[in-house]
Amino acid sequence: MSTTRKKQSFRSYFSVTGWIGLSMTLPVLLIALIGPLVTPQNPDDLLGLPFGAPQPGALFGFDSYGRDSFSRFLAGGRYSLVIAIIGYIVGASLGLTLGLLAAYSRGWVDAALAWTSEVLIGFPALVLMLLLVAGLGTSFWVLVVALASVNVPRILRIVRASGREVRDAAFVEVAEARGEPRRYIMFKEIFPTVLPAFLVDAGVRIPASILLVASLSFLGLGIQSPASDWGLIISENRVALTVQPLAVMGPIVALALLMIGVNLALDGYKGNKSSYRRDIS
Amino acid sequence: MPVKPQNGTGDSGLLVANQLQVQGNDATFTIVEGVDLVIPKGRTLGIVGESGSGKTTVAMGLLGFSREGTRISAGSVSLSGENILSLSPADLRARRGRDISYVPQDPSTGLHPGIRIGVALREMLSVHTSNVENIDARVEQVLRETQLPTDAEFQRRYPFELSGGQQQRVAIALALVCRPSVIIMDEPTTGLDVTTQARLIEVIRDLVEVNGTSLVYVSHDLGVVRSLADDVAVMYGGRIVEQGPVDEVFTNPMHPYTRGLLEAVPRALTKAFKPRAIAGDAVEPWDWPTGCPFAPRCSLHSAECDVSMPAAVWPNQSHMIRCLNFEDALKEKIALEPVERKNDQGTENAPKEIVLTIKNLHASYSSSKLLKGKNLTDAVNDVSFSVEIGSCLAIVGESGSGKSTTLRCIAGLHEPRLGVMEFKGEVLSGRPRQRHGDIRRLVQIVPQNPDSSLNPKMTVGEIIERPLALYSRVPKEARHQRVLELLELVHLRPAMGARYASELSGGEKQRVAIARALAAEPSLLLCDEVVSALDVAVQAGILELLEELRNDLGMTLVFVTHDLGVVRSIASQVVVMKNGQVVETGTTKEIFENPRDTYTQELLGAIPHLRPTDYPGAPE
Repeated sequence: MSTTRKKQSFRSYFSVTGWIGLSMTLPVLLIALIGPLVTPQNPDDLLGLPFGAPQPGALFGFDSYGRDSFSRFLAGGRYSLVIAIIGYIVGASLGLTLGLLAAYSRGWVDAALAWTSEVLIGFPALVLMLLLVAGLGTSFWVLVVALASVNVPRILRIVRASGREVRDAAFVEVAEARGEPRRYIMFKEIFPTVLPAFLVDAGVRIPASILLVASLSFLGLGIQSPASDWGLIISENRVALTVQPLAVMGPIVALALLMIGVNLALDGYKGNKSSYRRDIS
Repeated sequence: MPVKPQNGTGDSGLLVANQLQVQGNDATFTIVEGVDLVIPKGRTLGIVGESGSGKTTVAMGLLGFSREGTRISAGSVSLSGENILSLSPADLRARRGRDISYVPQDPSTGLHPGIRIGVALREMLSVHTSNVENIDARVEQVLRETQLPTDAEFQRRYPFELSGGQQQRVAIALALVCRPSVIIMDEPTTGLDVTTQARLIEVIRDLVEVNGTSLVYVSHDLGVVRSLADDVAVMYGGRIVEQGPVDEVFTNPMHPYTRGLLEAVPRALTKAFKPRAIAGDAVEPWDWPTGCPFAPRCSLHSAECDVSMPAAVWPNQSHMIRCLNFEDALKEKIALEPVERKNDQGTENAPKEIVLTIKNLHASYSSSKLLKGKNLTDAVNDVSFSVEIGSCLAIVGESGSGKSTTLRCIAGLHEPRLGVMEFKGEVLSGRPRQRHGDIRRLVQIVPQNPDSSLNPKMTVGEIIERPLALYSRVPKEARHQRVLELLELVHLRPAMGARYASELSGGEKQRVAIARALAAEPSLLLCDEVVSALDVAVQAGILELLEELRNDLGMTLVFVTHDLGVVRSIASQVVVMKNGQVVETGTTKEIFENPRDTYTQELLGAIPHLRPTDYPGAPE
């Protein structure tokens, strides 16, 4: 250990499959975020025949109303994706904190948290979201809260189960005997050991969140037409799949790439090394 | 080198291993090499060595078995003149259990958790014999032989419904039930209490004698091997370095490693003996030196030692060693004789300041919240003692005696039900968060199991640094510097700071756990069975370290252990516990030389003796 510490090389944060996953994920995210600003046409204007074939200026042809499919694809990613990401982050932070709390506290705190999350998991994800959306409307924050309430109990359960394995480990007891604060033990001693399970879960939970939001939109419970949204685009144009497949191809490919990519990227995440570690490698 | 007869009578041996070699599948590393063993009918061979020396690999090789990723790459193993390595898998399976059987190290994983023990015993018989009528009688007989209950209720039990000692007896019964001519036992008594161990060894000894069975007994416990075996093979770095009759090897050890090993064993009953660690670390199979594997740690190391593995030499008919310089070794006086020790004397001086007082401590475990405070049997029942500053107090007892619970109460990991604990005149609260900062810092614990005492996701450096960050607000760079000093203090290389716990050996993990406790600069160090999971040579190193810390830093130690040898070599005061109560307290000298309580006497009597002179009253 010298006092000068080398920086960890950027490449070492992900494995090869991780980098493949990232190379699938990042372009889709970029399209979703920048897309609405660079649409060649106004995505809401009726410019051609319903399900019209591609032509110069309309790369993907026209949709069911005769709007430019390419522009609608570019414009339709941002809203759902932002909901999915915020919904996951809110759900994960709460689920993680409560899961660690349940694993660490035991007793009635644990029992109450475990029991509540079991009840919530009892509802199928889509049913729970539909219930909330039906009652509270389809606004942005309602969707975020609905998605988070699907994610919280599931993440809580994973973190709790994995945290309980080390709850009674000697290193946790030593930390307690040392008089460490509760939050240190939860986040510095227990959290690193549940991180692998948490990341594996994130690898399926984030794609599932994206899919859930897209599904709601597909069912017409997301953002409303004429606004464009990937789920909605698929829903509106699926009838002409054989005639004008390009009208749905953009959102379908983008969603597929995103879900596979996020999964691979999180699978291949290796994390950062300790400063003690960097000196010898 | 041809195999020499081991016992001088010219017996050809029932089980003979010739030049046995086990390698990794890709032949990049060799785990054991050139192993020659002869086990005559009715004799017991002990195989001793540190973990990683290859003793379990040899034991399994004698059954024609090699672990996943390894294979028996050369040599032969013959049982009654038949080479079992050339048998077909089906023939080999038929021999195992019937002619040669195995008792694994850990009975809790060696027995199938979902099979009732009666069923397991019957299955063993029905697989290997055609005589179905006698099965019930045979099962009862073997249960009687292993001193287990024979009734139907007991036979219906699952392994988890048995105590550790009973589980191991069932594993032995399984190995015995077909009356094999050879039994191989891999550390069958490790992890059992001394008295349980003593009873089990008695059972094994009787069985071997009555049935004329040959036994191969693998153990790192030299005392057990001494009390059970006729011959002994000492392994180091995958080779047998010394071999001969047990009395000969243990009283006249010739290989520097054997001599080191014997010096490292703590003796409970010798008046004054201080275990000495062997310098350096044990070699791993992948970095064996070309020459003698022990050369890097050997005080008699010479240039020829590095050329090739020394050939076997026979100083007399029955005694084999592999060492070029053994004649020099014999010139060096080995410290098996009494050495002046201060532990036994130190406490007879004027009374010192009391640092920790325990008064009428009661502690209990409740499985249910509803029962809290009602109908509880106390794990710790009315325990009182006090600890002088700078002394080492050992709490001894068997599992379930409440010794660890007592220590956990002092550490603040278990809330006592009743009683008072005082540290430096201040009341110690049952919960660490209710103790004020300085008391928290001054009382530190080193937990029992080195495998779970270090966070697997943190480097050694981060682990040792944490108490520094918690208790003192020194800047990061100064903390790094202090971590280096602490690593040096516990005799670890600075580069270890970068390792994760999974990359450390058992002894190294325990040193890190000690360094972490020392980082807080405690005045009271609580040690819970800190050496029980370690090899003797490593154990001696940790004991030396603790002694050093006590002398140099003036630390007070409270040391929980079931090993009386360890107590004798480190403690100045002893508290003997049984069933949650203190049965005897006194200085180490008093307890060992003049035990008053019958239980203490029983404990002392159960220790396997390393040398005949270790018996109380033996001529010195």
